Amino acid sequence: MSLSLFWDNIFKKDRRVWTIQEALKKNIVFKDLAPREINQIQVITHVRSYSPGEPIFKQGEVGVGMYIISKGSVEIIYDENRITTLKEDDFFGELALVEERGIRTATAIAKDDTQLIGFFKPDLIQIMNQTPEIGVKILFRVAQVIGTRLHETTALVKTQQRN
Amino acid sequence: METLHRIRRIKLWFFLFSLAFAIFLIFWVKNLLVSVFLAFVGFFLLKPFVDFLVRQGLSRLVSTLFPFLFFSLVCFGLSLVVFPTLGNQVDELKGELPKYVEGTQRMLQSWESGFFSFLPAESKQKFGLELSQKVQQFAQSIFTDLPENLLNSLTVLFLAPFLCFFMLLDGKEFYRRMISTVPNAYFELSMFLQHQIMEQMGGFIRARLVESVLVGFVIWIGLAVIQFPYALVLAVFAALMNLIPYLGPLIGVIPGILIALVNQETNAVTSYIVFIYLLAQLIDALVIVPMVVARIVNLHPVTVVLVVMVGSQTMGILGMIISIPVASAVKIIYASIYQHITDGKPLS
Repeated sequence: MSLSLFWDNIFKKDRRVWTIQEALKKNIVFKDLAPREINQIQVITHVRSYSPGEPIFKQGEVGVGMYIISKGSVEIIYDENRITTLKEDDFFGELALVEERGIRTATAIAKDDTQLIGFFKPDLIQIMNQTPEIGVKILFRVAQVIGTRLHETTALVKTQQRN
Repeated sequence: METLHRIRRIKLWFFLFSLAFAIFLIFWVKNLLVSVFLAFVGFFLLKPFVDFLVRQGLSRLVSTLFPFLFFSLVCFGLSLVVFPTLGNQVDELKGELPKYVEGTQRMLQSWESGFFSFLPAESKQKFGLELSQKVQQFAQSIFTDLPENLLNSLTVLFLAPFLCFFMLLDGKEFYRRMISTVPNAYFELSMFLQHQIMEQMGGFIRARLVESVLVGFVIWIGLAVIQFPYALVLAVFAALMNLIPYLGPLIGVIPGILIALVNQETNAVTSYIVFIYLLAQLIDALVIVPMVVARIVNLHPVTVVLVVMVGSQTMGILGMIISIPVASAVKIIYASIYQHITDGKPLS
């Protein structure tokens, strides 16, 4: 402990804060935000740790926000069928940010030791009340993400109908 | 892995212990419950202004200080104008109280002989005596308890703004630290419940206060126009009672009508007084309720009456006033936990 203090760079930023900022900067939802605005978001996010096999949320439960994977991986399961595995920097659950009463449409389970950055609806509402320009940028990107997913789903349904 | 589980266990115990300790303190320390309740009222009232100032680019501290000082000055100014009149009227009413108590007793006795003519004379006498004693005790207790109530009010007057200020300034950070200790399985549910409850409470408290001020103001103007005695005291009483849904407006009208009957006012004056109270309730029902109250969690009228009764039994008038927001919060928590347990099936 005493020697590590001598060798570590004690002047660098808190590594945890730095990781959150980096993860937010890389995420499409926060892409339009300036560094100062990213700092504002960083202080209202929640960092949560999950062990392998631990559910993050279950299908049918009330959901209040989205998660960004900062470490580990997450399995998405719909009606007991595995749909996909999400890795570091992927995000999920963004629909709950804009839904009136966001009910989770699938189950998310941590595959490994996983660390998630949670961004939730009450915090988004607070951001919209206090700094609407940041709120608009985030909402625009959320709408874009949902639109893209809708396009992809429509294309998939069309392909399946043709077949 | 074992360390992670251990940290989580410690976090959970810490959270449960803090929650239990806070609840114990609030109920155990004298005046703390009222102070916390009033601090929440102030918090919900001032929060939109603080948010507005933060939006204009001011720091959180300045944004909190500014509306806080402004409202304190407004309250201080109002108290300079309203309190002397209110004090004079309370003094006058105190002097004339025996007259009103006696008049009420006489009226009750005359009603008894009409309503309970089928009862034997002995039980009628006993009933009348008990009723008169109750009325006298209630009326006198208001004034005998006044010095103690005022002393308690001084503590509350200092503590409530103090708590309110720090709730506005640091409340969000405190809440973040508390919620970070909630286990993963209940994290989103806790966040959802907290958000719903704060939204509902904010709307409820703001709506009730606007309603009460409006009802009190209409009654004050209406009674002052005909120079009815104790117009301000009666208006303040009606406004306070109006905080209690359904039952409050009925309780609020009683002293006005009693004073009119004991003073043997003409039928025209008594009808006018009834009209003023009705007008205040009409404006409330037609203007305020559709605008603000309708959006608030709906409790069945029977539930409201039962809840208000439980509140009055446990904590008196304060219990009657806070019972509805508490019941609304319990309803949200109950419905959400039910939905969580039954995999998303809403409580029908």
